[in-house]
Amino acid sequence: MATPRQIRGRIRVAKNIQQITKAMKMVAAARLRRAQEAVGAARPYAKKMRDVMASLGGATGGVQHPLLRRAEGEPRAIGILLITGDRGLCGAYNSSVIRKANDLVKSFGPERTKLVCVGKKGATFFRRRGFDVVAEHPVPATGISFAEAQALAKTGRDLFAAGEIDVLYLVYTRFLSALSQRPQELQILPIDPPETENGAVAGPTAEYLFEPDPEEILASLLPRYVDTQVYQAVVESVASEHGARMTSMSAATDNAGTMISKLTLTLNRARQAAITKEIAEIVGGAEALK
Amino acid sequence: MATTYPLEVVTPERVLLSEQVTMTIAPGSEGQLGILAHHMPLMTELAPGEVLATLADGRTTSHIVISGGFLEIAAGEGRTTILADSAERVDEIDITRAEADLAAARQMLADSSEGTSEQIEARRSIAHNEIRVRASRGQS
Repeated sequence: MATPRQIRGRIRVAKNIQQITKAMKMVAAARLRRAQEAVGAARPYAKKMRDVMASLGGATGGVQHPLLRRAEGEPRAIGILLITGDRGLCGAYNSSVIRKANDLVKSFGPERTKLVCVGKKGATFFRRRGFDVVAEHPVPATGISFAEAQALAKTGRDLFAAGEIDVLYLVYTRFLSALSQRPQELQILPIDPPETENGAVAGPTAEYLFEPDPEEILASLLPRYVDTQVYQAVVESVASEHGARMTSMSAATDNAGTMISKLTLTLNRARQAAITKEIAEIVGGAEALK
Repeated sequence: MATTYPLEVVTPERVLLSEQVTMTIAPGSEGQLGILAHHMPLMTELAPGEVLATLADGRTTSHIVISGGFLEIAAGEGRTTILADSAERVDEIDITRAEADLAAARQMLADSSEGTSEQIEARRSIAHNEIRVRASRGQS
């Protein structure tokens, strides 16, 4: 049985931990709110982009572009743009998205895979296993700007255009709600042009006036389309990370609370036992003197 | 009163403007574009430059600098959308930062070799930041 002194020490430790986890939870909650706003703000652009792509796709059927190049047969090498966090203490957030990426690369192995990593966790994991991490970018808590996402996407696009990879996957965490996030993979290259709502190619697109011409617009739109998807994925992942951290830190705070009450109970028992023992000794001593 | 149509200026980070306007002037890649209501459906690329939108009251003008993007006029009510890579209202521009960005872009051009995508990127950035600085000076 631990002495009251030892138990008091353990209560103090648990209280300290609880304070830290509670602070982390509150910070995550505040950042989550901001990240959620960013997710909302990115949506109109992404939606518009898809609309424009869909109407352009109709007008430019069969156009050639490096980003539309499809490898014949099985892809020889793949690229993965992996989005994780820089730090742990956020539940299964990092491990589940890394597992998803690991499943994808399994059949290719380190020689036929190139990785572009956002977040230290993913980069460290794959580097340790001998994979080629072409680029790494940290994740500031405030999220990243579109220009930064563009630079990342460009790394992936260049690899694809140079023929070093035949497919580029985006592996990120989709933000469903503060309590639920899902790791997701998405093939972003070669581009699959989004279908128009009804799948029809004709329709209003035929009346569009294009300046300079559909092919040229498409050529500058395609890379931008990829960039938008990457930006969206990063924004959603950042929100997911804060959500996951908030949930796990909230659970940790609760656990610390349970721990503290259990220890307090043990402490009181030990204290009482000591008192009882002392009384018994005094009574025993008095008896002996009679 | 002139007929109005809805204009939206959207960047990946936010919706900058969503208003009824009577006229928009935008920097098309093939030259300046003036858009009034009932324009025919159009899709065009935009160069770095200034967007001027005259709001429904006919007096207020929204003055925005964009770094390039796309403009779409949809069929039907003529809903016009500007998809900009980045956009800011002129009164939001931080002139010291714009000047610093301009210097950085010039440096990037000097460092880049002929015919690379970096060079194209640097030229674009210089054009954008020159307009930012000029627009911001004109404002104050």
